[in-house]
Amino acid sequence: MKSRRAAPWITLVAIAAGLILLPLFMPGGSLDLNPLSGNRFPFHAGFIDLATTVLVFALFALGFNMLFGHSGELSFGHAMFFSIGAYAPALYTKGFKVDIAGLHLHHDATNNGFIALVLALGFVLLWAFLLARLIVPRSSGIYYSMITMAFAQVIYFITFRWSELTGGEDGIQGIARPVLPGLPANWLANSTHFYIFTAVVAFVAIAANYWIVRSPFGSVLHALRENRQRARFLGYDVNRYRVNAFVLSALFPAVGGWLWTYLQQAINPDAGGIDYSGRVVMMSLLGGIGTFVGPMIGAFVYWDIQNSVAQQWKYWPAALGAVFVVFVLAAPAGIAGAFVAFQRYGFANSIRRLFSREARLETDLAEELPAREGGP
Amino acid sequence: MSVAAPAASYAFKTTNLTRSFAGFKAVNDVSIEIPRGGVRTIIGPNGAGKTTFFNLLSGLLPPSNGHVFFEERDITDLDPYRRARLGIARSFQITNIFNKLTVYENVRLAVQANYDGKANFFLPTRRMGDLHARTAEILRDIGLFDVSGGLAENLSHGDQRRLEIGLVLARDPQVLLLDEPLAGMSPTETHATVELIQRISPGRTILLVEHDIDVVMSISTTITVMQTGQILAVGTPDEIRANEAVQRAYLGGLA
Ligand SMILES: Nc1ncnc2c1ncn2[C@@H]1O[C@H](COP(=O)(O)OP(=O)(O)O)[C@@H](O)[C@H]1O
Ligand SMILES: [Mg+2]
Repeated sequence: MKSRRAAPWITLVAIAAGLILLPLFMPGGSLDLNPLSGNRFPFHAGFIDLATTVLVFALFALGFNMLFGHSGELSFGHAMFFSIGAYAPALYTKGFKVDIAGLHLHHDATNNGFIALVLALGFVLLWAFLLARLIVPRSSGIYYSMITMAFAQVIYFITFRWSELTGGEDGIQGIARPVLPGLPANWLANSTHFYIFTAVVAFVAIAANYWIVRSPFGSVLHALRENRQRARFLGYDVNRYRVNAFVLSALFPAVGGWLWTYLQQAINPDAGGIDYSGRVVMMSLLGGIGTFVGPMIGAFVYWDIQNSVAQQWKYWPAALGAVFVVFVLAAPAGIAGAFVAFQRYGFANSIRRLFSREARLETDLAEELPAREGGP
Repeated sequence: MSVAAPAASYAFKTTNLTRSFAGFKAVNDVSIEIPRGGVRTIIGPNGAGKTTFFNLLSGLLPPSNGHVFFEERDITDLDPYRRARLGIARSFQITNIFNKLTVYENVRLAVQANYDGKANFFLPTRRMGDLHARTAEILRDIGLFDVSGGLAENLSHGDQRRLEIGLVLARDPQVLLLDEPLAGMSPTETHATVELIQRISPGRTILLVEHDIDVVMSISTTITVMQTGQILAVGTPDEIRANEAVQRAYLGGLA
């Protein structure tokens, strides 16, 4: 009996291919899907910085989905991790001088991007852990969402108000991109080079995420999503898993934030605002939270619509909203979820499954048994 | 595969165990010892407090008063997941499974719980000993091997009840609390499930809440009769059948 689930390496190869081809799908690229866009040349990359932006938000959505899609808890404040992940390298790279509680803190500008990454991950890890230990035992459901949002606002106001350190509303500008060992000092200044760098980082992060959600740890998250009480009575330390899921899910937005700072070479408080926390929810739902690649596809669709419609029509968020509403109503499993269903059950059966339990029953039993390694 | 028996004379002991809901005592000052081994059945009319008693033993509810001991150890304040790790597994009167996961994943998650805290949880499942073999074994035991690729929510009621027993078995527990496992099963399913319970009972203690009086009389080592939150009588099936208080209060038309 063969499993229908794709082997891990197939998924990873497909993702690598996606990362290589993505620039061709951008506005102006030779595979641009948008009929409104103009000039196309054979194998011409589109707006390359937009492709980089898609990857940054794909990482953000990937982390968010580990929590919401896999363990079933809706954080409405994940932008705080994106923001901390962006500000830590910004401050480290640009340097700062502040006086706080009689202490004079001072740090000179540097351009070691990897120490900046370690700082981004370190701060986010610490903050996410403290927060999770505080929130997890005390809340779930809508309260959990509200509390995460409230704490995200705290981070937002710190970045907004503490001008001496963060530059306040204007943020920090003129952040130099890091220098990669063995490459010319300004190698990353080139958009294409920066895309390559981002794609490599994204691939590593995506592979790590994939590993985690397919591991025994990941399947416990699914158990928590489906029935927390049952998991508890099987002997799982439910709150420990919830804390770990929260912390792990915060690390991916941190990597996204780190890249975001270098992409824009500037950062401002918007990165941690409610708008960003909400956007990642929307991208994930649009792409399909029940799947691994869905939220990343959602990030692509979000930016593609934003970019192509925004140029023609100033009320572009309405177009995005309309697409979103159509998906939530007609394809609750999102874009990727719909494709999975088509592939597994055929088009007609997928539509029937949406509406009738009988159809689900019939088509379910036709499925094959999962692969059993080491079984009899 | 049963676990080595620690030297304790009882599985559970309760002292003055009480649980009130808004002043109403669903379990009222119960002090009993449940000996190790055998099938210990609890009977009583609806609302007698059987499920509440199970909830107190398994940790779903904290008691309003009194203590619960498991093999000499006071577990009154122990979280349910820690009780599960001690070897206490329970099923629920209202089917409690992972609806949106496959039957296979349901059982695998239950088996995998044995490795929690011991193994590195980020290793591939194939490194986790006999995880898959054990899952398949349980699926065969409960007769769901052939439908294990389907979602649990699409199983028939009787099959869902059997899956629930599978989740309980997966931990290879010393003590099983089964709350009306046969409710809603067809005669064939009932027969298969009773056989399964008998087959797994050696070396374990099984606490069973059941209404089917024929099953109760044939399967039980001892029967405990509950009424209005209290223990009315404890005895072998023959003793219970002959007990006048039980006859008056409960068995009247049934036995
Ligand atoms: N969570 C609860 N809240 C309020 N009352 C409850 C609760 N659980 C049980 N009860 C009450 O306690 C009594 C015993 O219920 P239960 O233990 O379910 O009885 P049994 O399982 O013997 O039928 C019933 O009167 C029931 O209404
Ligand atoms: Mg009951």
